[in-house]
This record gives sequence, C-alpha cells and structure tokens, in this order.
Amino acid sequence: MGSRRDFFRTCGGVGCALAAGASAGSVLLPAKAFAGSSPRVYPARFWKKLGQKRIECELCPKHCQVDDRERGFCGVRENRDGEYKTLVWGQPCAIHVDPIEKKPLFHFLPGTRAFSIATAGCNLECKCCQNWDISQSKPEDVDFRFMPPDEVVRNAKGYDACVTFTYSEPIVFLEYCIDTAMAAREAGVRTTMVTGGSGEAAPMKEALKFLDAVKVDLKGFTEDYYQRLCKGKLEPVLKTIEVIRASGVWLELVHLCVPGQNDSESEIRAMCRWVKSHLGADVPVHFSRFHPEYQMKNLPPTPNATLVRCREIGLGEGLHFVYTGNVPGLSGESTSCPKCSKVVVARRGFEVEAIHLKAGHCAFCGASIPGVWS
Amino acid sequence: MFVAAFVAGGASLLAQVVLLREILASARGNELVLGLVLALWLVLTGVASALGGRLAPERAGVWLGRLLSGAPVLLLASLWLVTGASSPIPGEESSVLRLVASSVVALLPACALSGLAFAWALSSAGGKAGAGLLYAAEMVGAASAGVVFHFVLADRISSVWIMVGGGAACAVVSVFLSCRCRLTTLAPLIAVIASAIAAPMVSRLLTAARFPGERVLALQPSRYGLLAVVGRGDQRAFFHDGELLFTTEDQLVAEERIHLPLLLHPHPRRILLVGGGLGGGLAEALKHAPEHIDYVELDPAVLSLARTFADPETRRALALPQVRAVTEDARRLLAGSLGRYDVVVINLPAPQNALVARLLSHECFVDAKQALAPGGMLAVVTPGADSHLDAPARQRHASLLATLSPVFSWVGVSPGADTIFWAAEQAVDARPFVLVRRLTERRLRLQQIGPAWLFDRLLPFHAEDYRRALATAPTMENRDFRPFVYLLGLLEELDRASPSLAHAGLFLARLRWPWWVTAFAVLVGLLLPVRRPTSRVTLAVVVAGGIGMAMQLVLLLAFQALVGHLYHAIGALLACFMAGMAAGSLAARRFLPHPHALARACAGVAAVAALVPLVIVLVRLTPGLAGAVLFAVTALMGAAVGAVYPVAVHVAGPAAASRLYAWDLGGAAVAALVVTVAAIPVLGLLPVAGFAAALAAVVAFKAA
Repeated sequence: MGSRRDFFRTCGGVGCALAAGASAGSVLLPAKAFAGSSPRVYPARFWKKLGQKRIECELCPKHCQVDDRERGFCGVRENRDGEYKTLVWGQPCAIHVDPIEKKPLFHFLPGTRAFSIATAGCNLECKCCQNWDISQSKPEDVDFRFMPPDEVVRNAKGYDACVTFTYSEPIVFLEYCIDTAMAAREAGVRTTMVTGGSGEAAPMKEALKFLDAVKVDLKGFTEDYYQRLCKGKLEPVLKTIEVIRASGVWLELVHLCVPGQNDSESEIRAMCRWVKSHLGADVPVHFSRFHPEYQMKNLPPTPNATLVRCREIGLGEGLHFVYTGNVPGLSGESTSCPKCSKVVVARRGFEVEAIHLKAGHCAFCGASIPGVWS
Repeated sequence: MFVAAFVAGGASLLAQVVLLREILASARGNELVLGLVLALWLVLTGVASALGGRLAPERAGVWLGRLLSGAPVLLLASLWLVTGASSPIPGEESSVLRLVASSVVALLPACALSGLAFAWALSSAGGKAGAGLLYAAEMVGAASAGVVFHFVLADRISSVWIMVGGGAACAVVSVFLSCRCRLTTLAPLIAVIASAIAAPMVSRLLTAARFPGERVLALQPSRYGLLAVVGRGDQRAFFHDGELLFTTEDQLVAEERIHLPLLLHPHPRRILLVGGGLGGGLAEALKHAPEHIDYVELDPAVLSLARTFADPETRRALALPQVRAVTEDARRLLAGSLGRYDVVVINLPAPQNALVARLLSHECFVDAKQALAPGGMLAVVTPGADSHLDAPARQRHASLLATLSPVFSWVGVSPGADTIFWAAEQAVDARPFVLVRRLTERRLRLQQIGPAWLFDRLLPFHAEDYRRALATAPTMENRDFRPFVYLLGLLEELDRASPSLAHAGLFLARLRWPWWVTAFAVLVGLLLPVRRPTSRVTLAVVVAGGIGMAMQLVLLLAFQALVGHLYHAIGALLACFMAGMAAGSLAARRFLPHPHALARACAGVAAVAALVPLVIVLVRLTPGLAGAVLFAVTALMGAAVGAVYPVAVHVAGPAAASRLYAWDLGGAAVAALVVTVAAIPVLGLLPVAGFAAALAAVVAFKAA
C-alpha cells in the first residue's frame, strides 16, 4: 500500500513538473529549437522510376535507389511520392567573390574574379574535405538563401566576375548549375565548375553545353585511396575527365597531395602518364598542398619538397603546365611557355603580376599557350 | 592494510592521470574526451569495487597482496592497450564509438586493480571504522601522488616509467600482505623486472600508433601534456596531446593571421602576441619593424622545442633582443601591463577548454583594453570558414562579437578561414587602399598578401554576408565564470565526427534558465519519494560524489579566473581538495554514533557548497586574498564531501562499503561529464554551485 502511494505520488510530482516545464517552454523555447529551415523543393532531373514509388538516381555512379520519403547518398535529393526532387535548387549556402586563381584556374581569364556559389551536399565523403561543413550537411542544416539563376548572374555582373559552382559538389546541384549557366550564357557571363568529377556522362554532357571551364579534383590515382578516404571510386572520375576533355570545354586538374596517402612517386607518375596519354600534354595539372581539416585535422600539411617533387615528375613525364598550389612563393605558380620557357603569366599567390601573351600566344616566341585568355 | 590503501590510492591516481594524458594524445582529444574518459575511469573502478566487494575472497588481504604484486604488469598493459585509441589513418580523429570502446579496453586493467584493491582492503580491514580510515588513507595516497606528479614527474619522466614506478610501489607493499613464501616474494620482483623490460617497447608502440610511418624527432612530456615533433622532409610538425599545434613551412597561414591586424594599426611599435608565434607569426610580425614584441607561450617546453626545431626565421626571432618570450599566464601579463602595447594579437585555436576560453572572455578583453596604449588596438584571430560557417561556429563567432562589443567602442571583422576581429576605442581605418599604402611604406614584400589580396579580403560583401549569418545565431557573452565559447568549440569538434550529437548538444546549449530549473525540479521530484533507508544512504553517497567532482571544477575555474593559471598552484589546489577529503573522512568518526549523522554530513556539504558562491563573489572585491581564501574553501569543501562516505558506511553496514564506494565514483562520473561539458559553460560557476548546494540540501532533508 505504501509503495503504491509512493508510486502515485511520484507520478503526480513528475506530471506537475512536466506540465510546468511545458508551459515555461512554450513561452521561453528558442524560436528555432533545431537549426535550419525547410528548403524549397523543385523537380530533379536525371533519374528514372523503378515502380512502387521507388526511383533510381542517374546523376552519379552511386545510382542510389531511393524509396518514398528517403534521400540519396548526397542528402539533397529526395523521393516524394515516386517523384525525385532536388532540395537545393536556387538555394546556395555559400556565396563568395574569389580570385579565379583560387579555384585554381590558371589558364582561364587570369586576374578576374569568380562569383562562387555552392549548396549543401556531396556524393563523396572525403576525410580531408576543406568544405565539409556544407558538403557533409543537409540543406536544412545550413543557412541558405534563395537566389534564382538570374539573380546569380546579376550579382556576378555587378562584380565583373564569372559564375563558378564550387566549394561542395556541383554535380549534386546540377539542375541549378545548368539553369544558371544557361542564364549566364544569355547574359554574356562566363561560367565555370569545380567538381570532384564523380558523375555520370549524360548529365555532365548536358551541363557542358553551357559551361566555359571545368576544374576537376583528381583526388588520388588508386581505387584504394578513393574507397578508403573518399567513399568513392576512381574509374568514374577518369571517365568524367575524358568526357570533359572531349567536349572542348577548358579543363584543368588538381591533385591534393595528402602526405603518406596519395603522394607516392609511383602514383604521381602513373597519374601524369595517364593525363598525357588520355588528355594530352596541354591540360594543366596543379599539385596542391593539403591543409589539416575535417577528420584529418592532425595530419601535418604537405611538405613543400613533396609539391616540388610532384611537379618535377609531371614535367618529366612531358606535361607542359604543372603547378604547385597553396604555397605562394614556391616555384610553380607562374605559367611558362613550353617552347621558350619564358614566364608568360607571372603570379604571386592569387595575384597576377604580369601577362606576356598576345592573343593566346607567347609574347616572346609566338608559341600557342592553350587556355581561355579573353 | 592502510599502507596498502595509501599506496594503491597513489598508484591509482598516477595511473588515472597517465592514462588520461595518453588517451588524449592517441585520440587527439579535448575537454569532451577528457570528461568522457574520466567518467569511464570512475565507472569502471566503481564497478570493479562493487564486484570486488560482492566476490571478496575469504583471505582478502592475501588476495590483495597477490593483486598488488601484479600491478606493474596490469598498469603497463593498460598503457599498451591505449594504442587501440589511435586511428589507423594518420591524422584522423577517432570516432566517438572507437574512443569509448578503446578507452574501456585500455582502462580495464588499471581500473580493475584500483577498484578491487579498495574492495579487498575493505574486506580485510573490516568494521565500520575501518572503511573511513581506508577511505582517508586512499585520499591521502592520491593527494600525495598528485603532488609528486604535478611538481616532480609531469615534465620529467615519461608515462611508461611512471607506470612502472607506480606498479613497483604496489609490488613492494604486496610482499608484506601475502603469505611469506618464496613465490609471493619473488613474483612482485619478476613483475617489476618484466615491466621495466617491456616499458621501452610499449613506449615505441604508442609512438608508432600515434605517428605511423613518421619520423619522430622529439617526444617530451610537459606540464600541460605530451609534446612531439615530427619531421617529413624539411618540414617540422609540432603536436600537443596528439593535436597539431603548428608546422614550419606554413608562411601563408602565418602571413594571413599577422599582417592584417598589424596593417590595421598605423604604427605598431610595441606588440603583444598571445599564441601563434612559433609557426611563423613572430617572424612575420618583425617585418613591421616594431620596437618590441612580447610573445606569450604558456608551456616552457613548447618554447624549448621551438628553439631547436622551429624554422630558422623563428629561431632567429626568438634570439633577438627586441623579442621577449614569456612563459606566463597571458591574463596576468595583460593585467600588469597598463597602457603598454600598440597592438595585442590573440591568435588561438577554437576554444575547447576553459583555459583557452578565458583568453576570449569579457574580463580578458577588459584587461587587454587597459594594456593598450592610446590609439592601441586588440585583434582576435579565430578559426572561421572560407565558404560557410556551420551552426556551432556561427554561434561561437556571434558570442565573440557579443563579448567584444560591450568592451570596445569600435569592433570590425574580416571573415575568412581565419576570421580576424579588431577592436579599439577609436575608429580603425580598414579601407583597403590605406592598408595597401602601409604595405608599401613598410616595404613589406609578402608571399601571399598584396593589394589584390587586401582588396578581396576586405570586400564589404564578405563582412555583410558574415554579419547577416551571425544575426540569426543566438548569442551569449563569454565570461570567466561562464566560459560558454568552449562548449561551442567542443560542439564544433563533435560536428566533424557526429553531426547529430553536435546538433543535439547545440539544442541543449540554447536552453535557458527555466529549463534547467525545471529539470532540477523534476530531479528533486524523483528523489523526494525515496524512502528505503538503503536507498537514502546510496543517494547521499552518489550526490556527495557528484558534488565533490563538480565543486572541484568550480573552485579550480574560480581560482584560474581570480588568481590566474598558475601551474603549481593549481596542482596544490587539487591536492588540497583530496587532503580535505581525507581530513573530513577522519573527522567524521567523531559523529558516527549520532542518529542523524548522515543528514548532518549532507547538510555540511550543502552548507559549504552554498558558501562557495558567496566566497567567490566576496574575494573578487579583495583580489589579494583570493588565493589563500580559495585554498581554504577548497579544503573545507573536500572535508565536507569526504565526511559523507564513512558515515554512509556506518549507517549501511560494512558489507555495503564496496557498493557505496562504487556509487560514490558513479556520482563523480556523471558530474565529470555533465558539469565539465555542459553545466559550467551554459550556466556558469556560481549557479552550478547553487544547484549543488540545493541538491545536497534535499538529500540532507531525505537523510534526516
């Protein structure tokens, strides 16, 4: 009897306390108890129905098969009643104006600016991602703004900049990229893309119709690296690179040298040989310095000597334009003529100090310097 | 038996401290990791104690001797198992699951030793009075070991040899506890010799697990943790507790962090750098041709290593007469430097503990303002983001801005991967062309920073976008007594490994006062119906254990805030608390026979806990007496908490001694996690003390 009374007394006490807390909470709970707001929903492209409200995404090699009310790996495309929707169209969460050299794009309108936008989401999960706070987030977890394509183009024009889709992974917001690139082309504004390259050929070809330059992060040159550190695959990235090259859109590659993971001489040499044989010696390759970030915060940055070595390997394998990135002052920032070896675009960090080109040719010897110079 | 408890208590404390440091270094952890691992230690020891009490053998004293003879091997085994806490991918942070699992495995041998030793000592000593004496002996042992570690061992002897030493001390005692036969005399000796032989190998394994494939140039224990210097090519990387401090060849980063603040001031003649100097910042600052630079680095061991391994420019800079490297608490330096500096640059990582948080507090900014010469400027460099600030980072930045704004008339910001705030009493001209002109006047030819960089960095668009993002973030000023920013720093860190946990933490961090009061009311509501005598005794012990841990932290942080971060004084403060516990445990024997002894003991805890906030507020008015008064209050608090356990054993009976010890540790474990990580940064020191006092009063009421 005593224990029953105690039980009811306890319940009564807890109940009163909870009721008091609920009334206090209804007045005092922060307006946004959970971070973020609900993103707008737009129709996605590049997918097919599988039946019973199940769909298969065809945007990237993951080919996620998604049930109703679920999302693909990227976290920004969702199945609603058997229709695939994008949750990030027109909703960038990162908007910046950067020097074009920061992308890095060294053979594309040097000294100009890039109006850079990105949404949440990515179809990879790189442990050393420099933009993990948006790439590994869902749209409702980030602070986004509604900026439709024409507004993006208007802003870019205001800064006399090209539009660049960057930071996270443009492939996961490809619909937005394509629509914006179309609007930019109509307005006479150039567009570029910075991508990890893990996409299917058909969507990429669609986007390439409207893009002016693409920079691809060739993160490693082994399947093991891609699986272990990126949760991705190498082969689809190589295919994407070939598709871009074949389209005629200006292409540059970046390899982020992660110490001890993807910077071995054999791997770098294999990669450079592949670039030369499959893409040609004129495709610029940047060897970029890793900085500790995301889940690899305590791995020291790439030593300068490694970048210098990689560059030497690239030049030794016959590539004409090999750069070192993220280390101003190191040799390998400026563009040299492959014929006469004179500096045709002198750079210090992201600053262009001098340009010695005439209509895309070396001002000294007249050799053609591939790129988009005006 | 009391000698055994003394030695076991000392060895246990040494093992706890060493294993905490090593797990932190392997898992590259922070205050959250510290709280989690400490809580695991307490829980595992408690479980071992409870099991030891339940399964106590007949000749517990002899078995205790056998257990202690194996101590050298058990302690070293624990250290070896810490290798599991390191991720196989170099530089990768351990996941929460990996951390917990590996910590449990690593701590098991040492915790088993500690818990079983106390339980079997209790069984052997027997009697109600014995428990209190044993408890006191263990506390004295722990206090003594703490003092020895803090003052003698921390920066001189490596972890493996501390473990061997602690194990050896246990082994010596074991000889006198076991039966006097050849085996029990030889076994401890063999164990000590075996552990001494294995120690260098264990040390190598730990290093190899932490830095796989790397060339380790230096490994050094310091007062503040474990330091390492790793070389790859010509580059040198400096680590503290597994966390990358800085590297050489990082000129780009050093330039970005130093030159913008110095260019914002027209004539930076006398400069104070707090952090960020040894990775190139000092050498960059010298390019502005100042008359004098004071550089603060708290850990003298880091400075010593830098003088050997840092890049040549930094080593040259440290040797220059106009550069003074100071190994002192930066707050004390600021407080004693009235009107001295033209520019003060605070350049620190994201705060993940109270030590860093107090250099970003309202009170610190007030000290910095007083240290500025007329026309002087404070710059705060803090990690930001190039593209997007996530929710915890946004809130941290908003808190920093909310902390700076009330102190200074002008506050500006340049957001980026390293966000730079500047604050002054007069307007600071941050127009790009002005900075470019100064760049030219000072003949600065830099690798990264030039006119284009400055114009891009200071585009109004970036600052507007940044402020717009911060406008949506809830803010709370960061104060010494409510170091809110370090909770945000921890959540930022947690966001990398577990975004859902981080978001949950952020939600809890935004809860205001009424929610905490409601939660407290619910807790009290659950406690009030407790009627069974054994439950009331257990409750008293749990709460006392929790309050003991919570008040230790409160008093430690109060000491730091009011007196300063003085390494030796803080070690003495912790020892003082434990000595107080021992004294309280002994003093409690006087009122054991009293019918309401438990209620009195709990009331004592409540009374002292209630006194603490009052004392802290009063000593702020008389800073000169703060140190002495806080020491006295700490000892008193320890005594009040220490009195509860022996009284509880007296009431419940000696058979419950081990179980109650386990509950004592359990209460401390919960407090270690909740108070360190959440309660103190969100509520502040004084309210936490108030809650503790209220809780103790409720328990005293129930115990009456």
